[in-house]
Amino acid sequence: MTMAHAERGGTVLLAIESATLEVGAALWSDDGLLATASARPGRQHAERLHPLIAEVLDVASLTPASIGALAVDLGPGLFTGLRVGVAAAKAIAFGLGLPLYGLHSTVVLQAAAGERSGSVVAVVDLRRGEVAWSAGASLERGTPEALTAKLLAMTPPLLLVGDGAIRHGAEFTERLVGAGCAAPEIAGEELAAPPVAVLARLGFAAAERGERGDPFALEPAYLRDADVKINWSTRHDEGAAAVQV
Amino acid sequence: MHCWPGPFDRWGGPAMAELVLALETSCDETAAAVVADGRHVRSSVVSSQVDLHARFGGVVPEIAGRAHLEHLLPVIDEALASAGLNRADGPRLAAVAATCGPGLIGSLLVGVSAAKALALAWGVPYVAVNHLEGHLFASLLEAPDLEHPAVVLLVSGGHTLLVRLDAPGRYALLGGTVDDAAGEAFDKVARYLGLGYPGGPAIEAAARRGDPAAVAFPRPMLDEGLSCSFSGLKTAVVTTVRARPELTTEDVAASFQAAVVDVLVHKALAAARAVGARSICLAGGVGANGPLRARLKEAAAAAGLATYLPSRAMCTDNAAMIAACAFARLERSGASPLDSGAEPSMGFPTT
Ligand SMILES: [Zn+2]
Repeated sequence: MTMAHAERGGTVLLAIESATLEVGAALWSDDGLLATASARPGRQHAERLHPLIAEVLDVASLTPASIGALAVDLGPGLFTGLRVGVAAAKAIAFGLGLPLYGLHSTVVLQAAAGERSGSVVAVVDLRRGEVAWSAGASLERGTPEALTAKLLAMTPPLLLVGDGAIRHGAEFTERLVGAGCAAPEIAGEELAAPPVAVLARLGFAAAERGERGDPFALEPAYLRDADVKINWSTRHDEGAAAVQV
Repeated sequence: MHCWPGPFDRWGGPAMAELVLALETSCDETAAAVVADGRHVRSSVVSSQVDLHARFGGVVPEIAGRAHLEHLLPVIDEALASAGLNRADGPRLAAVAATCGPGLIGSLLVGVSAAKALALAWGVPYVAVNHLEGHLFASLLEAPDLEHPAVVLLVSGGHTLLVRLDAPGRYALLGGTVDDAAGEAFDKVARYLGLGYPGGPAIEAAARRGDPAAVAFPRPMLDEGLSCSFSGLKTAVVTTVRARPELTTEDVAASFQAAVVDVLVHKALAAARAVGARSICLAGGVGANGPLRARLKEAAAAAGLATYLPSRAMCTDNAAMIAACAFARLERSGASPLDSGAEPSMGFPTT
């Protein structure tokens, strides 16, 4: 903790989200949410993220020196966006000597759905016919069919959140109803991407618990091996062919 | 991790020195460096991923992006420590810089995002640097008394450029390859001959045991201005090997290398003559090639020109050259905005 917030008596946590289609930043303290800002930038995660961090600090009338801990979305999500967020979070944590907590996007999505009876399943679209999901503490990857088989065994009522739930919602509903189960509830666009304010709240709780949060050790959850398509122009051109999101 | 020129003691120089921390992640090297006043290298750390990509015979973009993120903090930490600094000195830096292009987008963004974040955290300017312009500053770091105007032959896996250097930060593009870069031709031919990756050192090693006069490979576009072409030469290697199976790999490698070196030396001297240059510099990874260095030096001397051949560490991608370039950029055009990104196909900058 730096002097600034030690004097105020509490930690301020900066949360960074850029693992999915949304980028955002939020500040959380003992008093709850101080500021949050997000955008849907297409592929421009790197362009939008840093100004949003500056914006939340500005809104809360704080300087970077007031930050006492960080949280970042570790994915699963879009590879390049994910790296933009994790690189920024690692750099700020290193530069200011602060703990950094990594949380999976599915965990943030589940928390965003709130407490309720039955089962909450967070589903993130991994493209190429695959999804990642969390039900409880697990994090798994597979086809929507594989997830359906798991959904059949869960305690109803089912709530599915995340962009994967929206994208494959009709398919899940059809298969569950076909198997004689109740149709799952599919959350709307407001729970398509992990809300950065929820990431901030969960990160703040980790900081309060005194978890270590080593920024050097943090690794994104890619959940999939790298594509080994060689960039023949090994050095500096053919950028477009190398784009992988 | 390779550290050059070696750890410094806790730096005790004049308090007013302007220190720039730069990151370079455009391709398959994760690098960080601290440079004082744009010309004194305090530290230069390079973590190469070459072993990760070798079995694929080329750079795999997604593997490169992942490795950059993994090496990011250890490399920055090492660069600061070797310069006698630590993170608490961050707010004293003149700037934090990063290569913003050209390069692999997923690789560039790791350095850009981290550099912007450090600049924001420490409250110092961020400076985005063109990688090609950065290479030109390598000679300035090692040979500050270089005689201008100079011609820089910038040859690597991704570029083959001839540049007129009038002063630090003042230059013009004279010519370049119309197809494959010289280093790319080395990689492709080495792969075809089964010599492994990266191709430059592999071909150079095989060529030592071969006869450069065994095959008279074409010297494409030799007398056609300052542009060059290497894809025809690569095709000629394939055709020759098929037609003459009795040729040894060593002889083919030596003859191929001789042809590339011939074209590059010829073009560099033609460029020097065309602009009345007083010296010729090498830059880029192919600049580490022994026969190219020897032939260029010899030919330039015969033409009454000085040559400057940077160390291998300065030829290949490093962050010290990016820091030096950033220092000049900061003085000339100020900081880059926090909403700037990366540009994979960024061209040579015009001044
Ligand atoms: Zn280069």
